Amino acid sequence: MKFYCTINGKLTVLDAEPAACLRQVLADAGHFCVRDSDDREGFAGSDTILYNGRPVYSNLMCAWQADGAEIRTPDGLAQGRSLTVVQQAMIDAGIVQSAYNAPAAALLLTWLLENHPNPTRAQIRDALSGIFIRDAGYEHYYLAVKLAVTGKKPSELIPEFRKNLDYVGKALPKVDGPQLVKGEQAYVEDFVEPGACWLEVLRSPYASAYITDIDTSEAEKLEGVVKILTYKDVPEIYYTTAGQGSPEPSPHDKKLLNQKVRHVGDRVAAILADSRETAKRAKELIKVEYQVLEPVLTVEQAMAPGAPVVQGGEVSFGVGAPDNLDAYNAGADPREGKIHYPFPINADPKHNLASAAHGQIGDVQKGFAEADEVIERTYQTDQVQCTPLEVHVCFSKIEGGRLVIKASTQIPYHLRRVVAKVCSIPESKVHVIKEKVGGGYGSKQDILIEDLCAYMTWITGKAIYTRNTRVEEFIANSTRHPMKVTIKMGAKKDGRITAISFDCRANTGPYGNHCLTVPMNSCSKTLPLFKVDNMKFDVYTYYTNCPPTGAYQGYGAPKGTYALMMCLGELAKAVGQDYLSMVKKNCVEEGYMLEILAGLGEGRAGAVVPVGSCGLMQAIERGAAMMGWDRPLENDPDSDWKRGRGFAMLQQGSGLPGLDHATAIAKLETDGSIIVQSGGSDLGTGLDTITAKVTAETLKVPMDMISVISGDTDASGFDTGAYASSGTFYSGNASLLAAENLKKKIIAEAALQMDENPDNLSLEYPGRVVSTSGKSLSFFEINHTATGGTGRGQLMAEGSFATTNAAIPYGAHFAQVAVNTRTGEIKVEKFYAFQDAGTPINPDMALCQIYGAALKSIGHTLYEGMILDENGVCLNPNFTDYRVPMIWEQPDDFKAVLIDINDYYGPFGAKSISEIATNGAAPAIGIAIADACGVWIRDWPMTPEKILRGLGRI
Amino acid sequence: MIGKILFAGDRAEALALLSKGDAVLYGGGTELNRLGSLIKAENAVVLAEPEGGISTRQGRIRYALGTTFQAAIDHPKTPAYMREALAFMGSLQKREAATIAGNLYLHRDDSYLVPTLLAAGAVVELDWKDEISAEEYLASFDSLRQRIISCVSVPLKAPVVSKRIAMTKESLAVLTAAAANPDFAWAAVKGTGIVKVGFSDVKCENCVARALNQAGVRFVSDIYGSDEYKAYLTKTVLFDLHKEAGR
Ligand SMILES: Cc1cc2nc3c(=O)[nH]c(=O)nc-3n(C[C@H](O)[C@H](O)[C@H](O)COP(=O)(O)OP(=O)(O)OC[C@H]3O[C@@H](n4cnc5c(N)ncnc54)[C@H](O)[C@@H]3O)c2cc1C
Ligand code: FES
Repeated sequence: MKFYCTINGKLTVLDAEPAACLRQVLADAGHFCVRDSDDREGFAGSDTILYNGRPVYSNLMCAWQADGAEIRTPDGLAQGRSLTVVQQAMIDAGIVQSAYNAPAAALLLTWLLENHPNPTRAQIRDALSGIFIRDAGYEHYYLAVKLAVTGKKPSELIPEFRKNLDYVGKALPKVDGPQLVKGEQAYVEDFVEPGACWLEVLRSPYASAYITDIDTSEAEKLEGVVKILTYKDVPEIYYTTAGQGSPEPSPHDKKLLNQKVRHVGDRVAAILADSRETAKRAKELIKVEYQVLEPVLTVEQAMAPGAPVVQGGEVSFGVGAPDNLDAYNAGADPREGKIHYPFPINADPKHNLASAAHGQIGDVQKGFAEADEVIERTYQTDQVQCTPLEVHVCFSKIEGGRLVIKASTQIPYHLRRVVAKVCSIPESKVHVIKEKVGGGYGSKQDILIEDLCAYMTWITGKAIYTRNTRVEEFIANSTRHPMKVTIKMGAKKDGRITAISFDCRANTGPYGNHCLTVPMNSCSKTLPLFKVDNMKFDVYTYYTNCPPTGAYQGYGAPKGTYALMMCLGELAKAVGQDYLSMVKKNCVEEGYMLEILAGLGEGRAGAVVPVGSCGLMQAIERGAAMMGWDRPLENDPDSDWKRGRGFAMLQQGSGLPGLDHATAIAKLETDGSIIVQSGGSDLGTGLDTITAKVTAETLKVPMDMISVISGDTDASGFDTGAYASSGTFYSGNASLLAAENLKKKIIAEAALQMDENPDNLSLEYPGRVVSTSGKSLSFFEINHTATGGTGRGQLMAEGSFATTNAAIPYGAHFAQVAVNTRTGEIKVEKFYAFQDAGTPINPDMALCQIYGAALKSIGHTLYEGMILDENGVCLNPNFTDYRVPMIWEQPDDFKAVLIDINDYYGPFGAKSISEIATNGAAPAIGIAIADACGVWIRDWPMTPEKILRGLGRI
Repeated sequence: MIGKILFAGDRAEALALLSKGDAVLYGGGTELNRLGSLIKAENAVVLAEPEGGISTRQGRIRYALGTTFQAAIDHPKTPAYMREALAFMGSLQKREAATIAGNLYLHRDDSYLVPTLLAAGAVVELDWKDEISAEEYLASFDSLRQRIISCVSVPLKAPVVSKRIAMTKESLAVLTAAAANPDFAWAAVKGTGIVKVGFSDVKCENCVARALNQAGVRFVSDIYGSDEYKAYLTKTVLFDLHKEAGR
């Protein structure tokens, strides 16, 4: 049926079934930036359009509603290559990050300003009330409106750093901002070629079972089915989905498809067909018989004597195999598969122990004996989901005999390595192109769909597209490891801590990806905050049949920080000390030797280093002053609402010293412009902009003379990827080295061309070499001569960065809450995040990342969490029931503050920014709740029901 | 999701199509089109001329069937108590599409509007002719489900007080409650449904708990909270509303 409408001012005829989904019809008509991130749940707002002048979700509408309507979509906002005032303001405010919903948000703000040229905060909030933003939070949306309304320059409203520098530390537009905010082709889904086959996965309904019979014959008969794979058809190649440096600390404990399914949602069969509909129909026709096994879902169940074994396969080692290996492997059931450890991680899979680690400094028992007060408490964190707006998605094809993978990934090079292994082909035959990533937060540090998609392409030669449903994102993705952390802490009456013991029991779920490193991180990014002589940690990770876990922004640190800071809060009460002064008494400062690091090297000996640049005390003191810590809180004795406040100190890392590596290549083009080929993976957090700024600053050229190509394994050298907060420090340093090396080459070449001593030459804006003699040459002139046939060729340089130096970011997050002692409701009234990120290279984006990460962790603290039934079925695999924070949930008074610290090792003094900001909310809010109503909530999420139980009301 | 759209040229045709029993009326579409919709209908009837008018008559404000939440919020005559309940729906985009009639029709156990409509004494006009109270409408819903709610009206002035409790604004409510006088209150309780409680001689929350018990209200544990929590919250919030409504 034909529907006549106006789309972005143009008369358009849409030909569709009246009941067809309007969003799909619009996307098919070329408006592909009207997206869907929740399969028509009607929650996330990626599908927002203006319909007869009103914002609506096009996914909740049918095609017939287009008839006679005036429709506006985000791609119609700007003319040609220009940007609208709103789009520019959004880029300037730093909110265009992973940007999956940025075009929809631009449409909403445009609509708002057309109707309210000078909107109030409440009007802005209402305009954004139906759009979910996970990366940048909502606070800088208010700033974007202010920029758009007032026409002010970003530098007037956003703090700037390093007066002596032109680009670094300045709020300058993100290099890919226009592409993202306008809704141009950017994400994997925008590059899928017509005619691509669809890959569908049949998933297990059981948490633990053997597949006893699987019959695909009926499904294979269906017209359009290309290939169906079961465990019988895949190579005997074991690998880990974790994208980590080699040798990988995670066990290789899964194949593409396994005979044993280990969680609800585990892969049973892979169906390739010419369309999604056919693949889905074929899926229904596959007959599977299971021998259902008793699942273990919690650490307690996994630890119990005689517990069902999750991973009972034959074990092998790359190095360090124990002497009794044959005996250990005796009688292993082949249906269990195999486990290969590149090196030993103290695992005992037959008892569900996936990994273990131990270490200590001083004498903990002696420390406890010296204490006036010792307390021991257990804190439990739950399973939370990254919920990137762009689900996991992959497009693969064969081109020129090579396997080409377009991926939304944090780890292009690890992805290439794992896929090459699975397909048994050289890495040189695999080309990974990281497209824009519409949100990762750690979940795209695992290879969760690319392995199967790429393998299918390799064996069939077909171009293939696959994309998780939102439900699959919940049940077959990576999540935060649930952890139980028991802290024993002793202190003197004066508040000095004498000993800390840290016992972590982590739940890795069905596979061991990140099973050593995430739990170790719960101590390695927390214990080094403490100036305590006696500290001990024991970390145990268990296999279970809960949905898979993996990396999540903050890694293990949010859980360790929660446990340690809450316990310190409880201990402060016990010894009668003010919590603030007790924290200050026990926190590290620059120069303090971090002996504890010796045992925290993630599978190898850690390097003991002193605390480097450190803004921790500044963060604590400035935060306390802003909170008015020394003044009592106003509490109305007649009101049910009681106020309280708390804070936590925090740290993270900037990549993994001694493990990470990054490479960049800088090339001077013939006109004097520069292309940087960076191995780094910009997840939307502005790494490409950092690369451009660092290069522009070093080579004294305008930023728009620089183009950055990144995340393409053919175009650059090896980079471990964007995880462990490594981007700015590692990939940024590689770009800096490349630029410095290119500078040296430019000067050397200019010296020859000018017949000058290189020592007399320097660079000047805009891209010139000048001599103390007064002579000068532009980059164009230099390269023109160099590439003129008789010269020495194009000037290009490489930067390769690895280090054992650490650049640790620090911070302190403060919360003020109000708790209703009658209903248990909790309001976060204030949240102040003070962070030392070294030199914030992109201060606009850095602030947004703090807002985004802090709000995310407020969500984890108060309402987010996957709920499983006793069979391991997730009961809330959607945004509404999982409960992510929308703009309504943002604290009324929300501030992110960057502490001005110049690091010794980071590029231009920079350290990492975003992960650390997930560490503070839980302890800050937990301590504030206790301050408000006396209830210590020792498990996530801190719900009203738990408050009421704590108060004895139920 | 809807299989087929049936276009009705006028009211009579719409009523005729609905009377066959295999179709539902297409309101704002926010429930009909959403993933996991509660309504499983192959056919949806679309009225050619959607009627979204808002008018006032004899001390009441009348919301015709196509009136969206946002249109009602924007109307200057909409009473504050209605505006409060309409704003329980957090998302602007949903408010711009979802209709008041659709919300009443669904009367979900986490309903935004139903407790307020009932407490205010809303009147439902069916098929542009019969008027019955919203309370009667819901009591006889099974026999009325094929009829069209052509209008919902509420008093311009009513001392309605309401409260919604959910973990986040956009997640589902564990309890939504409203009262307009100290004699009774209405609540939508997750897992239980729409509940009416009469108060006589109520002195404390436990008196409310007794009244709930006498009314046969049972609470269930689910992902939104335990039965104990829901029972506690319901008695507490209803008691508070009872006190507030009595002021
Ligand atoms: C993410 C999400 C969360 C939601 N959360 C809630 C919630 O917490 N609480 C809640 O109450 N609702 C919720 N809803 C459901 C829904 O948005 C609202 O209830 C809305 O008011 C339904 O109105 P509608 O006009 O869109 O109805 P439609 O989707 O068009 O129709 C819903 C039903 O009502 C019937 N109907 C509609 N109009 C009439 C009429 N005039 N006469 C007779 N029958 C009619 C339809 O036939 C259909 O059976 C949610 C929806 C989404 C997408
Ligand atoms: S329904 Fe709105 S993003 Fe999916």
